[in-house]
Amino acid sequence: MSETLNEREPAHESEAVSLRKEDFIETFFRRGAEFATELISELQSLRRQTSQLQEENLELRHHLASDDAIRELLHKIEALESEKDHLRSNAASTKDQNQDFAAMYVAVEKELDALANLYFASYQIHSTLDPQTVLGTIEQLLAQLVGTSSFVIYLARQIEGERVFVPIHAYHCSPRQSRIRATDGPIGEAARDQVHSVVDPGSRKEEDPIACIPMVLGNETIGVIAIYSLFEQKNHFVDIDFELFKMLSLHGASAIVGSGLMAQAGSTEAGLRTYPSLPA
Amino acid sequence: MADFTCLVVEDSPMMRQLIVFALSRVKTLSVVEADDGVDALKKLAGGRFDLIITDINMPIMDGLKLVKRIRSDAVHKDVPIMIITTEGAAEDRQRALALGANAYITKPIQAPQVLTKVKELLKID
Repeated sequence: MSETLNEREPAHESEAVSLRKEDFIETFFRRGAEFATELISELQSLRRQTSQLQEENLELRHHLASDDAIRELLHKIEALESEKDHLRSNAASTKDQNQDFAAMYVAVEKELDALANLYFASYQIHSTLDPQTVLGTIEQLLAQLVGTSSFVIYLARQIEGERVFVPIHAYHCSPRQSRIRATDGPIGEAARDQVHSVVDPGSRKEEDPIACIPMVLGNETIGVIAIYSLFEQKNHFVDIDFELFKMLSLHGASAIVGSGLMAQAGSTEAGLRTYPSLPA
Repeated sequence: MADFTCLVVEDSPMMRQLIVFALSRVKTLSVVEADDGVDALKKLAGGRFDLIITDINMPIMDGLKLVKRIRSDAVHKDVPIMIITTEGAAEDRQRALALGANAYITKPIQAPQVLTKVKELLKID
């Protein structure tokens, strides 16, 4: 029996060892499983964090990129603003220049018109050597270009030892006087000063003209054009009228004297003979 | 070749030349001249005109009678007419415009004034 018991003891021991081993293994595996589960869970958590960080990183990169774009846009806006200011300044300067050019254009047009009228008048007055046609041309120039509705042309004469002006052509009026002494009134004054004049309305007598144009050849006043009235629609003289007065003063005188001499000579031949031929 | 033809009716040769001289600055315009109303009607019968410029006081047929005749003419009844005259009274202007004139300019003329009106009537820029 004791032997049986003794024989049985080792069996119990090995059984106990076996049980401990099983426990150990079971615990080991359980712990291993728990650890693996923990590891898996931690790995999953890390993966999530990584993914989150990646997303954040991407987002940050986008932010950075958009900040760069904004900075670039701001630079562009700044450059465009500066260009706009420059263009505005240029536009203002161009506008000023345009206004200057427009004013110059108007002035040049006015001057051109005045020159055209003067050219036309001098061309007309020298286009004939017939005395009546010369007077008719002066008449037309005063009427059509100046707007004169009545005037008288006086020419110088030596009568009874005295220098006087006598009327030789009247347009739409009768001569107020048959002779005017070379020193009398506005006509005498214009003849003496050899400058056209507009008579001051305040001191003007009823028989006085409103303007006088002396006709001067060399230093000699050969006559005076006395203007008595203007067209209803014209109430004062303008700059171009005075230019025409100057032209009439010189060209009118030479045309009147030239055509008078031509009428006396009877042909152009006599006039041409005054120029001697050159020896061959 | 000119784009437009204008008839200038004026008995004073000098005034006529002055108007023609002013019109020469419109390069697209050719000009035909007439001495009076009767001469103008002859010229009108022989061609087509885009503009007629006429004086009022003329021998044989005056400008107002001419305007009346043009307005009853089948070919030229709608052609613009400009009067250039010494008659500056308001009633003269009204009479001419009532008869069918499109513009009324009094002498003495200034070329820019005439040119502006001509371009306006011909619708030239």
